Amino acid sequence: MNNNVNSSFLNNQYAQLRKEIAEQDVYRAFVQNANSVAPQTPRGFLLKSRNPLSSLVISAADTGKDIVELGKALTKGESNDNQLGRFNDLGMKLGGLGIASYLFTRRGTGTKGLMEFLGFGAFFASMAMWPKVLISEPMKHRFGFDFRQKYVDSQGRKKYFFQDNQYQPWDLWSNDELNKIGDKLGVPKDVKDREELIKEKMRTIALQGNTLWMLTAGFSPLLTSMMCNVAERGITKGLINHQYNKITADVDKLPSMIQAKMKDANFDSQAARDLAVITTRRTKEPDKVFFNNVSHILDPFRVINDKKDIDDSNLIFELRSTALQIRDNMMRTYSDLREAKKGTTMVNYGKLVEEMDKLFAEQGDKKLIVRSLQGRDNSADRKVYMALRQKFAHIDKLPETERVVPLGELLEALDSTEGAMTKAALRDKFARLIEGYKIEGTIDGKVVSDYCASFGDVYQKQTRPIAARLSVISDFINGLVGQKYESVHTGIHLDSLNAFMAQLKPKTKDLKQARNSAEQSQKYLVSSLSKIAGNEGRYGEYISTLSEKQVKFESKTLGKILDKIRRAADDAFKGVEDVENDNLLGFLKQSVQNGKSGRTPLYRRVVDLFIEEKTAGIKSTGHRYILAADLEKRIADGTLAKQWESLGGDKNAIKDVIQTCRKVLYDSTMNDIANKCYLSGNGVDSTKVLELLFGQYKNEANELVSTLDADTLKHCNPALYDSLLKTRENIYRIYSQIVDLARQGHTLQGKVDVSQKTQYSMIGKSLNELFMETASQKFNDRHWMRMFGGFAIGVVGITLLSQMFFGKAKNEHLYLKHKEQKGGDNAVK
Amino acid sequence: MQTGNSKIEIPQNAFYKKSHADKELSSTSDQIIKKTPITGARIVADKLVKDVFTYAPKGMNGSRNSNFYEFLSLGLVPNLVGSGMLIALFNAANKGFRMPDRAFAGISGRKMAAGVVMYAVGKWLGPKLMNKGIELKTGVDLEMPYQKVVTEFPEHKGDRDLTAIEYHRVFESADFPRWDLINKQGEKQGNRYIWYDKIAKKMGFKEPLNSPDQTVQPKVKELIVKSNAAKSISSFIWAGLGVALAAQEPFETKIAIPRDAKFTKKVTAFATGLGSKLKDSFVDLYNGNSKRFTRSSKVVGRVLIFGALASTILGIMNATKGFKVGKNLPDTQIDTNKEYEVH
Repeated sequence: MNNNVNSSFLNNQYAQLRKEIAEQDVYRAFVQNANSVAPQTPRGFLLKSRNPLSSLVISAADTGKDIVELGKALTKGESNDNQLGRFNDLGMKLGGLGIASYLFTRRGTGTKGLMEFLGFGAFFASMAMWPKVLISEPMKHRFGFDFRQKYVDSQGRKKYFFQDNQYQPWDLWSNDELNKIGDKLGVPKDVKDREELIKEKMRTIALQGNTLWMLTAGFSPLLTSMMCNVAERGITKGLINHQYNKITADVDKLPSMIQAKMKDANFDSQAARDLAVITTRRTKEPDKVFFNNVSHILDPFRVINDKKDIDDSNLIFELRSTALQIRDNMMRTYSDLREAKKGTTMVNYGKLVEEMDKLFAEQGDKKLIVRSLQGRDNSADRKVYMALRQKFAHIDKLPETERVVPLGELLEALDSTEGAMTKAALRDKFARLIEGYKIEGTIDGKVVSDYCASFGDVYQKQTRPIAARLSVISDFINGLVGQKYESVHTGIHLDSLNAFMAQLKPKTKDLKQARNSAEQSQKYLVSSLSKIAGNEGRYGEYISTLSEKQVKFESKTLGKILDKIRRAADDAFKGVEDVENDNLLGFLKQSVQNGKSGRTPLYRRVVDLFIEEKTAGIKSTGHRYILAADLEKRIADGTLAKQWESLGGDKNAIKDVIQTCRKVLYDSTMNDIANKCYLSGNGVDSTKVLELLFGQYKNEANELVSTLDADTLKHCNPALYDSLLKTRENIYRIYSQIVDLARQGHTLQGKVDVSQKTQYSMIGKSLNELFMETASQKFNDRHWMRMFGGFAIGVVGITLLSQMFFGKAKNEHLYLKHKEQKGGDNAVK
Repeated sequence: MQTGNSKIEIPQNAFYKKSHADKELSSTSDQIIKKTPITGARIVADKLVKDVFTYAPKGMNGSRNSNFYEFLSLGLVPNLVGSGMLIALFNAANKGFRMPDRAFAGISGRKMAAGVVMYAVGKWLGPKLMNKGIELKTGVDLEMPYQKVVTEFPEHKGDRDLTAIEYHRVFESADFPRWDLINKQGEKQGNRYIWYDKIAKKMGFKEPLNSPDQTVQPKVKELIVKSNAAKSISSFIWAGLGVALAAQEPFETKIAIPRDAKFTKKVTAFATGLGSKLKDSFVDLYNGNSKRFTRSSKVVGRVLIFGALASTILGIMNATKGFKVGKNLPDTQIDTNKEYEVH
């Protein structure tokens, strides 16, 4: 115990001592160093320029650091001015991304959406590029230093060295570096305080660079839009290629894609919403509204109708009756079911008796009875009445609400009333009286709910799988041949259109005129095409280029893949189960008349319709480029006139014929053929004109051959022959059919077994209209480019030119005094 | 001098007295300026005019006197030119197009113009709202402007007027807020701490503190950092909201202004038209347009609306968190027994 006391006492004493010694040490250290307080050694350095990749990595890392710092600033309130400035850039990047993503969600097409991001990227890129490419790089080249030189200060913060004209930490540059720059700047070697002059010059140049940057940076959107303009074309092409590759790769994966669609969350939630229609009405008896709703949800074509693509909805508008058919089918089955399952019909006996009592009141007026029953033998009436009352006497004793009798029983009793029923008329009168108090039998709630539930079954087993299939397949076809801006098909159309325009080589002046009216367009087309037709070499090039494009599109691209899609569609529908209740699949399997090819199942017809309608237009539009040139060729070399004569046409009418032919080939769509070209009024000649344009004639050897020019056939890609002739035949038949309709009696051969819409597509787009639209677009592009391209060149020129005047330091002569004095010395000598 | 047993009057202000000399001095030294609703606009106009006629020529000449303030002020130029450029790129060429094309190009042109303007409005409005909220809660006006008098080097022979006026904000720097100007302003009113006392009261101190500056300053510094950090994010969300509003259908069409009407009528027509467009756009943005656009557009639209509001509200809450002293804290945090405080 004593020991413990001692030790604690000693400990205290030592602790005291140690504290005193420590304090003395601190004091001594303070006194000794009192006069040697110096600033910390600076740790700043200039940043070397890096390659783009590492600077990208570093800037990403810096952004990460900024986010961490932002967190610190927000939670602890600790930061500094430099860092707060950096947050602004961070916010700008995030904000820009946010805006781009919002606009992305508002664009219908992938290209436009992608352009939002590209525009955002290009905007920032051009903001960064403008000072770099147009100011800092040329100036670096000329002056030997970068006015956007960065440095890291002692606290590790990155800053621009020349940002503040009045604060530049020059100690970061070595004299050697400065002198090297001085050599580049042309500062004489023997100047007094050479480094100071160099610094002054650098400051001046950097300030001028910074100011120029501020004054011109606002023009960087010019660069952005130029970049985007160029990039958009590439992107469209790339997207279409991607689309094509994707479709080719995916067509074998159709079953798994359908499975994936079935599991799709959106598709699922749709199903839940749909099925609510059935569940909410289960207890009540179904009415027409209910059946309308149910048939609406059971209709598998709805997935296509609900799509944003209006063309799709129009396309299958003809199938709209599907839902109605389903509804009628359901209502029929329901009424059968109801008949079979409903309960017995009762008669409100209590009320009936009340009525009869009034009629047969014991002390009542006989005449009244007679009048009421309008019968003569009132004693017979009474007998029947009494018999009925007697027979159902037990009912009278029941409480009022239960006084009901099955209708059958009452009628039976009526029939079995002895003797009284000899007269059918009397029996009918009583029967009518009774029927007036009939209470219809009701159907059991459970039967109804089971019946309704069975629709859920149909929905799950048939509608949903079929809808999934249709949706996937229609997406597929749309990606390939849809009217979407970047379907493969549209891309090809634009490709061949561009080839067509490239052959015509229109000048801006021509475009400006042609864009305003179809007449001007035709005028230009005729003159341009006849010029081509007049030159053997150019004509050959024209035909071979365009037919090559067309072949690539028809056989190489579409031909292969469309067959695959048709086959895949056939297989896809095999997997759908049959359901007994309402055989939806059976309905789909119903065949429909499909032109000459016979009857096809309905779903297959939908697939075919898509493909037929959507490819026909572009195919024949491409052919029309060739046919129009062919006509000009025939006009130019006189073949047309010969053919006309061979067809038995009037030799003198050839001018009019040429005019009509041009009108038909350049200008007509399906609708105007009859009224615009007056073909129907031309009687026999109309046949001849169609023959001349799209048919055959007897040549000198008396053979029946196509009216196509020999040169056309020579230069045309042989793979296109069949298809080209087919288009001619189609147009011929469609036109002749219309002429036929317009003037009965002018019987022309040919009927076309496709829908009106497809026929419309088969004719192809009117060349005048197509050229007018394209001319307008091209003109707009050129107009825009002329306006802003020139402006951009001007701004860039001024930016570069003004740098020529940089670098003159103020009061430079003061530094050169040394030299002047020397001169003075010489003079004195 | 007061003598005898009469009460000694200590001058309230040991440094300045309201005098003619003081008045003269204040015009040649930095001072807080009175804030009116148009002060901000006047400062921007001043900067813009000087950008064109003073700062840009000075910069292009490589003047020694060009400073960082001038460089930052020049930032207005690319903003304005760039906005004009964007609008021009989408509109200027449209006149040469043929009719249907012109109409379609006009739609995107109008949207772009509206987008540029609304971006600027959003970017201005976001921080403004946050500043107002913070001022309401704490009494600190983070936008308090002051006028700085800069003395320049003579550059030419016979340069006389070597002062230039710059417009700054007292709290624009988190590192160096201009406390001296706050003091000076107080001194003019007879109490150096008048502003600090006001803020301390807002903080929850019931009685004036001995040296309120020592208590208030770190809090204000925290406010500056936190609010600036929040503003740098929030302002861009507001800008995004502005762009999204401008991207709605109502901005596809022109505002109908009667042609042969009085000027005032035209102005009211424009204002009501703009108002209804803004309202419709807001509704469209909130509800999405399921017929034309994907559902995600509605989701992102709502995210923008609520994000902008939330960023402002959370920013204000975060910045002012811990600003008020707790109820159980003593009225003063300064130990009055001590002779001096070390911080």
